[in-house]
Amino acid sequence: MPGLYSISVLLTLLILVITAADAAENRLIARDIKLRTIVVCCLIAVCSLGEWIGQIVTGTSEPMIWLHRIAKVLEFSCAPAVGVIAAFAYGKSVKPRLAMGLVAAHCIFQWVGLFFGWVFVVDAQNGYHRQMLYPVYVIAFLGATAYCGWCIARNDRLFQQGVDRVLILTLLIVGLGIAIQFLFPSIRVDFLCIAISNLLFYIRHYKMVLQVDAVTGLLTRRCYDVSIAELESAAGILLFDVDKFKQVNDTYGHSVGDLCLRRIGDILQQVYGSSGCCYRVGGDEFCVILHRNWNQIPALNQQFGDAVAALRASDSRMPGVSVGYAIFYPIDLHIRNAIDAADEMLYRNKHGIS
Amino acid sequence: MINIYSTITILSLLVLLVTAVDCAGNQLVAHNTKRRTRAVCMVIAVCTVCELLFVLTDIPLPEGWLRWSTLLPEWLIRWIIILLRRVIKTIEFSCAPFIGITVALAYGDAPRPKLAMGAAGVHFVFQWIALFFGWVFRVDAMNGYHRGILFPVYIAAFALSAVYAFVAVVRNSRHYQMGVDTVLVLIGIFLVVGIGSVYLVPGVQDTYLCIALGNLLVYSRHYKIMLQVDAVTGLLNRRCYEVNITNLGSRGVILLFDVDKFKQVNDTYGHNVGDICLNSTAAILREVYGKSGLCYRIGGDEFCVILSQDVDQLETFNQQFRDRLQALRAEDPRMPGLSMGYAVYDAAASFSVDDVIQEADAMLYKNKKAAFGG
Repeated sequence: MPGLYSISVLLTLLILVITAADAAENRLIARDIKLRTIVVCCLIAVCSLGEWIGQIVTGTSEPMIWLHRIAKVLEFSCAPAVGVIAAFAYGKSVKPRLAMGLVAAHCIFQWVGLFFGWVFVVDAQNGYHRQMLYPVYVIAFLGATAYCGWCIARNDRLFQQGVDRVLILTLLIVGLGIAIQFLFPSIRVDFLCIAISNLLFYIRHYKMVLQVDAVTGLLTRRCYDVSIAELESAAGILLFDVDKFKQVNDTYGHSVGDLCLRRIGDILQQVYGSSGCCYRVGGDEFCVILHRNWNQIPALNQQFGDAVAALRASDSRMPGVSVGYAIFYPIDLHIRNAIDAADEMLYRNKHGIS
Repeated sequence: MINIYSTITILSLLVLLVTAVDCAGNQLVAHNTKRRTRAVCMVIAVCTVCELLFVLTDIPLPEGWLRWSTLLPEWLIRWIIILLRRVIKTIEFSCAPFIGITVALAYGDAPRPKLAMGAAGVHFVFQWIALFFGWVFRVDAMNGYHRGILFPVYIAAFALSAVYAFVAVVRNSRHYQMGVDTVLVLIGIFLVVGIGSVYLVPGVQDTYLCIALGNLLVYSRHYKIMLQVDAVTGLLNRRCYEVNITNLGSRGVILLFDVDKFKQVNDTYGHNVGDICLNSTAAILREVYGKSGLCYRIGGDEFCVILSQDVDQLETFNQQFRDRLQALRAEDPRMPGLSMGYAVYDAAASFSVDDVIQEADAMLYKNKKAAFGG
């Protein structure tokens, strides 16, 4: 079905245009991520077009042979760059200079190889044949893909996402494209798969960045609202309020205020992170929803109180934190009542101290 | 049976799976949207699989299928295969219009959802009745597929549901003050090209890949919108405000609003009532100023409107706003008042954004002071 192949290339290009346009218009991501996303889209487009030109000129006459060669070299020299730039765009890169250096070296190798027929030759009938050094391209390409996957997984840990099912499925799509390419060379869906996974990585990246609060790295108020609305099993609801936070801001300035929020966020994650999710729900308000171990709340709170006391002992500018909690049972309680009960306890605790 | 078509089908199914899994774990979308997104993915998957099965069984009967004739009489095999293919095609045709409607419900502000579901239901019944009379299509004795006289009914139902989905998505986009942006136009082009190619280029079957990808794009766009709005009021959030304030148009007004004694409302009646007050305030802002500018919630109890059109009607708008607020406060005594200040900016008389905001803020402060006597 040659028609379907051409159409799939057209769709690939459209997906890339949409991804690039979305990145360009996206008010939610940083400028350098935008640029890298657009570069990745352009590179995939070059590869996809290179492959397509190679296909349609097969079997045509003399002048087209050079077009075929150049299209193929463009495809081969750009393909490993896709993985590396994607790693820079959506991941936490490791040794970026080394990676770029290798991509550049491979690019030069491809263009030199063109004249000696190392990687492939195009014969007088304009037919394409793989040559002895073709595996070099395969290794470069697979290496770049693995590098990309690794960098993205590193970034995930930074945002406390872990390797989730979406990441695995996205990598599966890349894997499908590449496997089909090597097993059935006549079926060309590799760059369609790569364009789709690029779109998925891009979407996933900005979702991940935006689920966390910029100051503390905890999940945001919006995530909290959704989690609360969806709570269906018993859980512990803990509310935290920084004591006299306004005074900290007014006395020491906002940068110290931010610092103490960050420290409190870190402690929350250390103490409660393994049993539930931590949220920043207001300027100086935090919440923890404990999905596990909610019968150990007093012990956890004791740990938290000790950690805050230790922090305050080491830095006198740090304020105290009041806590209140309630346990939510879906059978006999509305979630609002549990939150109100926690809020009430928080209020009592706060006025007990101050 | 590995060819580019079946590979693309597998790819479509993977895309659907990714969309459904992503949505299930997405902390940014509401429960309803999740359920509906899952439904959309399921319907598209059913259609995709049916189309694949129909294409794979598209083999002239005598050569391809009758090698089992030692086991079963020939007429029975013929009958089973043809019946199976007719049922598969009918499942696809009867489900396809539901795609647009579920998309509209999941990501859009769907007008008259019951009517739309009813129409799709009627079409569903029509397809299954038509199966027995060969109205929409028939599969002949040689296993050949032919369109019937009422095939345009299916095309019309499918096209209508697509238009319905588009309208719903645009309405939702307008509600959240996004309008029709480049990405939405590109998604539209993508779908038209992809689905149109089936009719223009013979032998091309990529409808459901396009629909699966279109669904992914609309889904991601939907939650991107949700990220740009404030969870409580549905107005644009602080993050958007900070970006937009840096590229104002040539002439307009910045209005700042501050809820009076909001802390008291929260402390007296609880946070629930506080949220309701913020919501009502936001609704009035959107109604009065929404058509001529963008409304933001920029702090706990602070709102901002950047008016870029109808600047000369500012006083009318402000009066409308005060009247609406007063009516609401008369109805619900818990509802707090609002103080407001504004400043006009004009590129012709060059300005700095900070100065304009400061001017509006000064007026707000003065108004507040006047209202509470210092």
